[in-house]
Amino acid sequence: MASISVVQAVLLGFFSFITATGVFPLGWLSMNIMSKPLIHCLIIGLIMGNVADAMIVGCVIQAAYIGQMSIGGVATLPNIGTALWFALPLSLISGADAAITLTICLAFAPINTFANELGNIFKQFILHADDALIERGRIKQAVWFPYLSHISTFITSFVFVTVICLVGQSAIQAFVESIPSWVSGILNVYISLVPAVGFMMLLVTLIHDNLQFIFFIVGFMLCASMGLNTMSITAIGCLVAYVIYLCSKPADAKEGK
Amino acid sequence: MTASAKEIERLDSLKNDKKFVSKAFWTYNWAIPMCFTRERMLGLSMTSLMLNVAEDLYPGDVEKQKRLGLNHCVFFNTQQGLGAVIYGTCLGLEVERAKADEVPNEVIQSIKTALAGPIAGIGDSLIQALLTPIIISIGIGMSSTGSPMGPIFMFLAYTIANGVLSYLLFRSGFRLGLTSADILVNSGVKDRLIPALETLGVLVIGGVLASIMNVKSGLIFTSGELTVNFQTQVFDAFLPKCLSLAAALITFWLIKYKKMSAQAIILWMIPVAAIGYFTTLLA
Repeated sequence: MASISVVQAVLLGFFSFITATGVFPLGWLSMNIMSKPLIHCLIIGLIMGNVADAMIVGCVIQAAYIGQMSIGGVATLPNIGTALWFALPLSLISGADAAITLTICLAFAPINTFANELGNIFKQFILHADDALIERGRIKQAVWFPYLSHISTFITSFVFVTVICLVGQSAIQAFVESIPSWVSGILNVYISLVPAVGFMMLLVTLIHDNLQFIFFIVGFMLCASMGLNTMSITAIGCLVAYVIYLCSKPADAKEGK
Repeated sequence: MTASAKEIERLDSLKNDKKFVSKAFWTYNWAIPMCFTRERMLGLSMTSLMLNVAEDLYPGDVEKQKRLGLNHCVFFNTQQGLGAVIYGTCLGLEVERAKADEVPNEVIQSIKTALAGPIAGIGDSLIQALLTPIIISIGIGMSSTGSPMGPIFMFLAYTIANGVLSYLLFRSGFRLGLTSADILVNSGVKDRLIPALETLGVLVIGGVLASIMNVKSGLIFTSGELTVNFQTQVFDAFLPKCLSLAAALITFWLIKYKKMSAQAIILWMIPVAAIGYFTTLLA
């Protein structure tokens, strides 16, 4: 039976930590994209030596989370950022699919939110300690001191992920084996429905006039009926977008800008 | 109190000093992920940026460096990418302030607050709701069969686009001051660009949805000799993946017109899946 080695568990914990800080690998430049599940899944796949399966699961989860936006620090979907780092590896070794991975992630989300709240209290403390440093004129220290706030990130990611990866294996194995066929049948139906949430949340922000659904339906049919891949559809989309951009020119000129 | 002529000359030269701009830009870059709290949000990143250049602005004057840092120990929040223009503008104003005390702190603080809202509005709709999802959609399309290319593409495309945009905005904010922020907020370009990009987004999302979602029916109707497989003989004949399209449109209706939260829909989908499975309407 396959299992997660200590080295793998530590690596998973370490990468979950540095991606959670937002620093890895290029600070702000890569911060938002490095919080996306599909990128996490690639790193997990590389550590577990099973990129292909990790990508297939990752695409389903990423699709459900594509509409995830953080406006003013408030997330719109359950936070699965940490849970993915142990749910996916455990699913990979026990042969579970996207449905089970997502179920484990969603079940852990409230614990994750609670841990983040505790972390916020700690960050508050760091914030005021930094003010005190400036007050005392220790300018050089005050520049990088706030990075210590990631001690709380370390506990909520590295410690959680590493420990659960090591102790959770038999529990997940037993859980996966005990699932009756009707439950996995329901989960399969469920996972086929879930991507609609992420995409539609996004569409609600993009569609102001229901006539714009024409573009959506055309995009849908380019893939479903004509079998085009995403790159080709993007190219056609760029053409349509450019035409719209050109058409909006006269209105702009009238304002004299 | 005005700085000496030599000092003013040195401060003026900072505007064209490539090394200084890149030092400030990288501080901005590394400071954003440092300590995001609800009390001050991105405020600390601005403080950190100012403190790191404090020595260039007020060499050897710890009191003034302290004043500079403490002035920026306040709440500040925006969209970080387009917000680079605010960081740049504030830095430029602080350089002016170091030259002669003519620019009062209140002006810098109110400019900072006044720009934060509009820039966040454009940035959230342009980058968070359009650029990122389009890039992710292409990534999902590349990886849905197990290829690792999707995440690699996502990383490169986003980081390069975000990097170029942030750097140019930071630099022009620093050099041109308010002019560059004004162009960003008031020019017609955004009014033309956003509808065009929205269309691109909607079209690509349609395509990726069709490639990702696969809602099927297991319904089979038998009457004597006649057997009708609803999925292959009815639905696919009408329009391939029409059940996925229907599920998506119902979800849209629930979010937009029934004001259901995404979390609630994710939970309600479990009983729907169970009913669908047991009645074989869905498989």
